Amino acid sequence: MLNFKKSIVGVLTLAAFTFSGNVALSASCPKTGGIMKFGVKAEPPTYDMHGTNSYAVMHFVAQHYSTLLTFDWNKFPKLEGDVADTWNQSSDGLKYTFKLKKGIKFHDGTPLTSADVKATYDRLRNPPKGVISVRKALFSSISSIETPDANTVVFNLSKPDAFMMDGFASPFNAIYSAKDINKDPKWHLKNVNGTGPYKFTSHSKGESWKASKYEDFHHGDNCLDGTEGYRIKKLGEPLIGGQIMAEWRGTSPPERVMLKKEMGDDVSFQAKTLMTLWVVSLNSKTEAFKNKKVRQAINMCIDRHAGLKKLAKITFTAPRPSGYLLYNSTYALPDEELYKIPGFTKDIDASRKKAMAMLKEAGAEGLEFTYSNRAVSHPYDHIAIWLMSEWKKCGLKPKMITNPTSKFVKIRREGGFDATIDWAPSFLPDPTLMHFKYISSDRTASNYSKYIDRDLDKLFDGQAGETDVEKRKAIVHQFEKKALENAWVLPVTYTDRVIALNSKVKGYVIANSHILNNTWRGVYLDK
Amino acid sequence: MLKYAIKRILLMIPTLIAVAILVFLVLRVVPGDIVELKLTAEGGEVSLEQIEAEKTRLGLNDPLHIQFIKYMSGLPRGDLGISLWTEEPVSEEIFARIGLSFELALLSTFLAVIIAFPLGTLSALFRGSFIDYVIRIITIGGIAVPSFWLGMLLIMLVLSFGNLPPLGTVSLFVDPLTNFNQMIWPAISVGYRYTSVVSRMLRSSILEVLSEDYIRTARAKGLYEKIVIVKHGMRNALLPTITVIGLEFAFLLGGLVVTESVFNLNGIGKLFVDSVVRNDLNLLQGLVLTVATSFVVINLIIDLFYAALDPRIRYQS
Amino acid sequence: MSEIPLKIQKRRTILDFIIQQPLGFIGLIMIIVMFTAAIFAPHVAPFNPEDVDFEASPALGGGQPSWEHPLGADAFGRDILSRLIYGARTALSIGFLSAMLGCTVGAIIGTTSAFYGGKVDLIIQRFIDLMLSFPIVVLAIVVIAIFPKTVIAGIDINVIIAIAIPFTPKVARVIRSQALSIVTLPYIDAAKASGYSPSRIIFRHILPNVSAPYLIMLTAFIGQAILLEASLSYLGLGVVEPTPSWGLMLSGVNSDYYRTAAWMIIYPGLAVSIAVFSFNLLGDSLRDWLDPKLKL
Repeated sequence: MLNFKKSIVGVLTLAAFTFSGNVALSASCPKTGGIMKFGVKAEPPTYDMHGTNSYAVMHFVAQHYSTLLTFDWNKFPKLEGDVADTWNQSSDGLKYTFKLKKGIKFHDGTPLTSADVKATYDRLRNPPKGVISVRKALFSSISSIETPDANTVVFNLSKPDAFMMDGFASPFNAIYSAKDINKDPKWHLKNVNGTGPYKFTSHSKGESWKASKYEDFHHGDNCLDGTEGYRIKKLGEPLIGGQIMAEWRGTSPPERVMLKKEMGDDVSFQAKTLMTLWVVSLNSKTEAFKNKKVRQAINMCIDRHAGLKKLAKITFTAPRPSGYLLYNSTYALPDEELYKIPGFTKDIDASRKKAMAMLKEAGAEGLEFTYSNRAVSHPYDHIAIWLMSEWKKCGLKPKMITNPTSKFVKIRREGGFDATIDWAPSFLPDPTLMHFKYISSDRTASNYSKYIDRDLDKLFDGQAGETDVEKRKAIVHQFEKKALENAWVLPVTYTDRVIALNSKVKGYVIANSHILNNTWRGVYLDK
Repeated sequence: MLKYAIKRILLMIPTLIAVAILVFLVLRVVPGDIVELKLTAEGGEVSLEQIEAEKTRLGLNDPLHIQFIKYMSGLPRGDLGISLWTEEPVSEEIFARIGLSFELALLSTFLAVIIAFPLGTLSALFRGSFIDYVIRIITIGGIAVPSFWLGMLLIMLVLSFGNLPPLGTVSLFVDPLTNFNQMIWPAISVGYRYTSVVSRMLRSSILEVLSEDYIRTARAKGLYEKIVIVKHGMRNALLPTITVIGLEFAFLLGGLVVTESVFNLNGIGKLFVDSVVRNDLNLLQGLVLTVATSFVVINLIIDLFYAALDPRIRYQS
Repeated sequence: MSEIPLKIQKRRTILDFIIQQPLGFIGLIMIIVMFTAAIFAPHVAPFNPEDVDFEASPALGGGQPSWEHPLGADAFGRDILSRLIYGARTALSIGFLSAMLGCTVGAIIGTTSAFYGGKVDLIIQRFIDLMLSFPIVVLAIVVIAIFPKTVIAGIDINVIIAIAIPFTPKVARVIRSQALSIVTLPYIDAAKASGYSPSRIIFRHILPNVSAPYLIMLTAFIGQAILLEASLSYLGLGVVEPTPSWGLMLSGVNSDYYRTAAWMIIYPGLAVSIAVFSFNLLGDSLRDWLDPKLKL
């Protein structure tokens, strides 16, 4: 009897599956409808994701595009296909073959083929004149791209590249239509045509960005009727006052207290460490800093244990120390090793005593130096004020000079500082991405200390081509230790990112960076 | 009158040209680097060659006289160059936002005038009395209280009672109620000062009228007589008041810079602050030019108005 | 009727001022109190304004007004009363210096223009008109954008110049019209005939006689300068951390605390209002007393 019932249920279920099309689709959207209003604190300078690092562009534009691969947000950094269906890598690591999903269409109706993927990646690694591709260097190991048929793309590399697979999942590498690129390589700077979950509707300068649901989205998990993004200055009042329901960059601790007080259960928070590392870069041209002991001493005055815990309460920095790589990530130095390096030890009093002795020996007692700060409150002012008080405890005399961002970046570029606040953002805890900044200044433009260190360069190149995880870890650990002991760039800590959402917004999974997961697949509104 | 008007309008042109040249020269000296900002502020690996290439592409490496020629030749056509940040035409960036600022300025002016007139008149008529002192203190408050602080307090007030008006300015013609809700708080915040200035000017103008010889004889006769005299003397009292309304309207445009930032309104005031922070030279140039030009034009209109009311002005200079 | 302010009348002493202009006297007292607090700040302020004390931060649950911190503490646990007192230093020094600079330069330009007359006067007039084509805030921000941050003896010189420049043409215009009526007087002709140098005539004979409008404008503009400095600092374009400034204490992120620590917002705003208020009271009364007919 039971078996009979079971089989009837089984038949009915099978029938339901067959007739309703793809049951999985409706399961991924518990509820549909509604417009999600969100806020962004900056103005996008362009619509072209290839040519910018700006989070403002990401927040407004990512919803319109797809990438070759993407991440499974619940199992980050596990990869899954976005427009790619299956893929494999040759054993020598020099050939990547992708099979694309069938039936994907751009918002203007054009079908997606391998030619589009090729055109996109050609544009990324070899931009035509007048087009800027800010991450060009990351694709330098690709020697050619082939399209044997309309659904297959083959990437040929000139040398093994440990980062390449993750690179395909970078949200900035939006797949453009070859037809649009051929029409005008700069077309995407001011126009939008993608395969993403939401279609571009309008951009009201300085004010709003509106999008509507794309009915033929190939994953089918775009649950909202549309989105509206607004330019905001502060998060608190707009969220409380119902002007927006979400903001993706993050809130500060005092802001959260206020939001909780005002909104109670109407607000929900999600937290994840953001992979932006705050550092202090010391200028290699400053006389006093040429002595390694002085640099180490400056590093040792900072109380990274108790001090960072307190700092984390007033701004969105993480409450614990870190090397250059995100703590607890695959390649990071284990804590026991990190805490042995000068500046990271637990006994701050001993550390400071030693530092003052080192300074005295080097003739740099009570050293005066300038610290260039950016005129933005969170977390720059907060970090700066905290660092000033830390250094004063060693008898040092730092002088804080604050400038608006455009002046600040110029000063940083030209070396018009003794010490400067600096930052190293990333979306993946991959050493190739994150260690780039610390190699010699003739190889990277983001080494503002402008030092040369061929040993570090060798170690970096070594890990970039090493695909065996354990071997790579060994090289990376060597790099971290050496660079941290050199103390040219002093890590402060990572960022504690907490986003505030109106509790209506559901289905969102926060990732390790505010530039990740901005397509809002699976996000729905619920009272 | 017509001759005077034409003369004044023609005189305006050299002033505007001089303004344009001054704006150009002054802004060449602005330190800061927008291309660095655009490309490196969020981190990531951008090479020095790429940065230089962008600068050249945007015309920042052109020699000074080339930049000047491009700038001056574009002006008569209304071409103010392109914004270094968005690469959209500056005139479009400004045009998209100027309506809001203008509406805000008009609303504040309207509020100011309808409140200041009774306030100023009462204060003058009852000079020395309790009412006068109270009004004087209120109006000095308007000149002393920072408008951004008042704005912050107003926002908190509105929040404690309910929701804030929606973002994304709604046109007056589409949804007047929402538009009013969006505009009234910033209008109060920036208009408080305006109201006070006009009220004070009206007060002192009326007092002056009242102290004229031909008035003094009537003063002893009491309040009713005063009112009658003031009605006749009002014309003389109005002139400096109207001048101040005109002058302060221009000051209002400056006050919008801070108010729009406080209330997050998408007007040219906020655009101005943004362009300074980002070092968007072309946009900054275009904005300063636009504001200066409106200033000059508004002053001209006020002067013409003044001249129409007071024939003596036309025959001076 | 002559425009020269009459100084001859009856003996006008400070006592007369106090009696006739009580509001102005109150303003004067408040200004003296502020100046005293600012000058003796290290002795008056209970804390160093830059002393960070995270435990006292409202973010960690502290910072309420108490015996230790009469007006509470800010986000970094810095004492607000001390920051207000040192902020008075910033406000008064920047306010006073920029108003002085602007008014003095403006007065000199105005009298020189009136003295020389003719072509010189015309050119200077045009230039003044040009400068007057910009709203004060706009002009100040543009000057801020141009000048690099220069700090001498703890004072932001670039902010002072930025605030002084918009005032100069206004003062120049008013002083010029006053000076014009003096320049035509016979005794100036006599001085010219006696061979006195132009600078001597300007500085010894004309300027002293425009002291009334000068003083009135000075007090008015100190108030406006304080307000302008607060606005610029609020926007992040004026004084920046860690210098204490009332405007800076109100800037953007501090309003995150409006529910948990309202004192952080109320007191600095009050400080600005009271300071500007006092200067305006004084200025109004000065004008009433010295020259009621003066149109600014």
